[in-house]
Amino acid sequence: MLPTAHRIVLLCALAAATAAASPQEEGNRYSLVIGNNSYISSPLQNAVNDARIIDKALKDSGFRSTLVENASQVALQSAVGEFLSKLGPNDTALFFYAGHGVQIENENFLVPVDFEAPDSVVAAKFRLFSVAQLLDGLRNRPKRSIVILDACRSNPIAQQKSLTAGLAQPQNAPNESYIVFSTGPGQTAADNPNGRNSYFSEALAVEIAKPGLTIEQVVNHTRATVSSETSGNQTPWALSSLKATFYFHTPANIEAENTSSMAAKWLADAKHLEQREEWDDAIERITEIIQKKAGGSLQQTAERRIGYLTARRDAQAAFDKGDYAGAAKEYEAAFKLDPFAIDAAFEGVTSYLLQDKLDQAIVLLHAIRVRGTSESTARAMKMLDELKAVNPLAAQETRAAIPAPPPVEEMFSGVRFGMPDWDGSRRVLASSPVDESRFVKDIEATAPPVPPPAENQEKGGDPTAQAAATQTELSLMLKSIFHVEISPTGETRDLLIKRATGGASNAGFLQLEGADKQIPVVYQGQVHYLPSKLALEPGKYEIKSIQDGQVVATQQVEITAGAPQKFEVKR
Amino acid sequence: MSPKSPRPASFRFGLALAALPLLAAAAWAAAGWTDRNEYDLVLKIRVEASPQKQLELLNQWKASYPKSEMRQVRRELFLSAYQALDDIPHMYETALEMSSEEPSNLVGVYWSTLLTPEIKGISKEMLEAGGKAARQLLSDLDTYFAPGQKPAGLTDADWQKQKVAAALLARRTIGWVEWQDGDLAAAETSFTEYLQQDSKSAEVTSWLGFVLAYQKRQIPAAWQLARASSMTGDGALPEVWRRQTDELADRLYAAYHGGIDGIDQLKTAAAASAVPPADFQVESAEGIRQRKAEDALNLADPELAAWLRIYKQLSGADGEKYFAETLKPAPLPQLRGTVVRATPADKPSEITLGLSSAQTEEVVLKVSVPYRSPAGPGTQISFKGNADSFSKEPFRLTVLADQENIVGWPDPPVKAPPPRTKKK
Repeated sequence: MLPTAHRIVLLCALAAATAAASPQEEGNRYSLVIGNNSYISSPLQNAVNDARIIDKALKDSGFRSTLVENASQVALQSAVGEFLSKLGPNDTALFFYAGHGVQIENENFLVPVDFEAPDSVVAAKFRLFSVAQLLDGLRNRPKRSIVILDACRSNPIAQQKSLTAGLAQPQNAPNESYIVFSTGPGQTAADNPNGRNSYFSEALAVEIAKPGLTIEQVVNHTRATVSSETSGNQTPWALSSLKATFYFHTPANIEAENTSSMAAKWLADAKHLEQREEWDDAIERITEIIQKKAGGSLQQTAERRIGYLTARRDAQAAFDKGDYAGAAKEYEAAFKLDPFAIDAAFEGVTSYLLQDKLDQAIVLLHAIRVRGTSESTARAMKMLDELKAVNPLAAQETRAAIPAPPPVEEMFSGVRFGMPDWDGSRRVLASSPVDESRFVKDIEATAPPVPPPAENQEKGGDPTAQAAATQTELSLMLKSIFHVEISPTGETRDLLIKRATGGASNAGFLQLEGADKQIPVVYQGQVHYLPSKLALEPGKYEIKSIQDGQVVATQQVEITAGAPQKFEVKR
Repeated sequence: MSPKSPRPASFRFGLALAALPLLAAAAWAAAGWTDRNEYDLVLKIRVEASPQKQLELLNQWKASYPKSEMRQVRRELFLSAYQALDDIPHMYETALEMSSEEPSNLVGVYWSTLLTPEIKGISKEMLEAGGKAARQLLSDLDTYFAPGQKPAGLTDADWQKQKVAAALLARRTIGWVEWQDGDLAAAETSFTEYLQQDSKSAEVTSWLGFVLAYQKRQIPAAWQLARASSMTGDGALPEVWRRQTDELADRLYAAYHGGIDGIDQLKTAAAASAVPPADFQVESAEGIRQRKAEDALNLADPELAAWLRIYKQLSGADGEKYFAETLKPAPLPQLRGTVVRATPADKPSEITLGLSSAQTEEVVLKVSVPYRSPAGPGTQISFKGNADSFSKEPFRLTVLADQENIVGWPDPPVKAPPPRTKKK
């Protein structure tokens, strides 16, 4: 369930729009992300960083995102124009803004970095960017629009120029839109001067990145985090007209997710609609739950509620037609189905009174005295007082003490106090999976990336590389015994010029001598024993004597064409 | 509230309707209301559609009636409102409050258990409380889910199913708490126990994979992570994490094996089984390097390679066993050594050889028929024979060989023919 009434007085908030629908119905996702720090007056620290992390989170969730940093008025208008021109009828549009925002005469404006306040407030409007203009541009253009405004920071620009800091509730939100403000009424959003990002944007980016969350869940989680981190001083706020669920990252099992989370949403919607006495719409929502076979407690609740809502709708219709008998019957039916629907009982009383059926009205008034609030009870008592002169039952009722109200368990039908909400707990687990990415990152830090396949070695490519690899392997194998390894130094190879033609070898020779004929000499993946004459390309070579895997001596020799070099191998 | 069945509705309703003051007073007490204003507040909460407004009213109730008999009911309503707002941290706080006031309270214990792994940056105290709740849930499972506690409208089978699910939830949290406490071995056991009951939980499978990875057991970890990422449908990991987990499995496999050749077989096998078969092995990168090195030396110098293999085994911890069970029963491969000493000097039958180096006495070669000529130190010979005895300290392998299996022994010097004398 989402808050409704007190949204009207909101000054600041974040907005995100979600649209439901299966991925097949999705068009493209476009986002425009703006972060303004470099104000001529009152620069901010974190707005650009905020825009960057949101831009990244959106790109990771499939948005084609455009990031604009420190936008002047011209840049802002141009970016928005380009953004709107991209949008097609099946697309999702997301606009994110971090920076200063003000309201003038209940209209919201974003503040470009080159804003210099003129003398008059009216003139100021023409140097700012109108949110209403953006919302108008979004109307009927994309399939759904999400507007997120982190523009409610403490705002000296507004103070200096007698403008109102923060934003007002937009009056022209398009259909299928979700508008989020970074804070609630009477609150100022923190720029978080000790951090790199505002509390709001930081939490929002984290939640957007989480898989399988609906936009409502993203904003709810963000709200909980921001509220907790600011000790309740900042509570993000949202305004939705989305009819379907929108996911930043679509869950793997979208069908199951949709059924369960949608059913919960519809149930909440139905309760709001019921509160506003919009019976047809409430019935429609409840019917959807039943038809979708959501299962569990949600379906049970829906099945219990449908009769009540139908009775209320029919009662209302009958009453409007002047059919008070029909209305009374339906109100009574509704009251039986929900004995705490005190308003239905009063309507029933009225319907009976209009037919002069006093006894039936008094029975209902008795029931109101049992289950109604003190206010309802007093109202019932007043009616009984008026009736007692003409009806002895009313007189008797007025003499009786106020009956004790029923116990709490009776009030919440369908709720089993003392017993967990099993279905609800499954929804929590499904909608808030434990964040595994931190463990993945942790472990990745200790495990090297997957190496590319060693094609040369496997497929017999570069023979020099193969020889080098074999040399390494031999070196490993001979680790335990004294041996000698010969390898060219780096400078040899790059400078080597070979003859292009001719069969005559350009090689030089290294003559290895030594008393111990058992000492292995490793060169180019081959093992040689003393005495040995190796043909080498001209260049510099390193001769390493190795004992127990440690280099115990190193010597460099330079081989030149035709001139043999001698080397005495000694332990 | 302890897991007791609520008062029968008909009884309560009857009492509520009664107009007699005495009866009403009794009902009042039974209902648990402090006064009518308290009831008014709760009725407003009941009617309110907005969870945020419900919270405001609940807080008002809490402030006005802090010691209400219905404190736990109130907390349940708080839970419900927070749940509607997806406010997990506050749900958790509320659940802990419930189990703190009444440690056996099923709702408090259940939600504390369920939510403990969901809380980011959880404090040590909260983690401990979550673990305690999970153990409480597990130890009192039979009480909580006794047939008499079954809510009306639920079948016996569903009630039993709920019990199994609660037990699994408790094991999940116990393992999680052990893991976060750094007791990886205990966490591994708990998650393994969980998976024995429910092998299709991608979440717990991946947690087991992480716990194994933290213990540097890359291949078992890769197995579990690959398995977790292979799962689809109910209980599957969210797509983003499924991909990350799959990539991590590759990474761990490659870290151990040196590349990802063979990973597909592992993934196929892991998708089909919760645990690797007993004979499942993956060669380590170090093992591969060693094998390649042996292959290279085998090609370059097979005699030296053969000796290094034998030497490594003999000088290892199980050297004597290797000698008795492997080396002695079969003929030795061809080896090469340098003569250090040959005795007796004129007709040697016992030749001491160095195989790793010319100076190291390692092998004593006993020839069945003494040579008729000596060989000086530094002479290189190749030989085949049978191992006869072995001593580790000092290292000495005695080999019996025939002269025809020894190559490189110097021929006896050719005697100069006697000078010719003229016959007279």
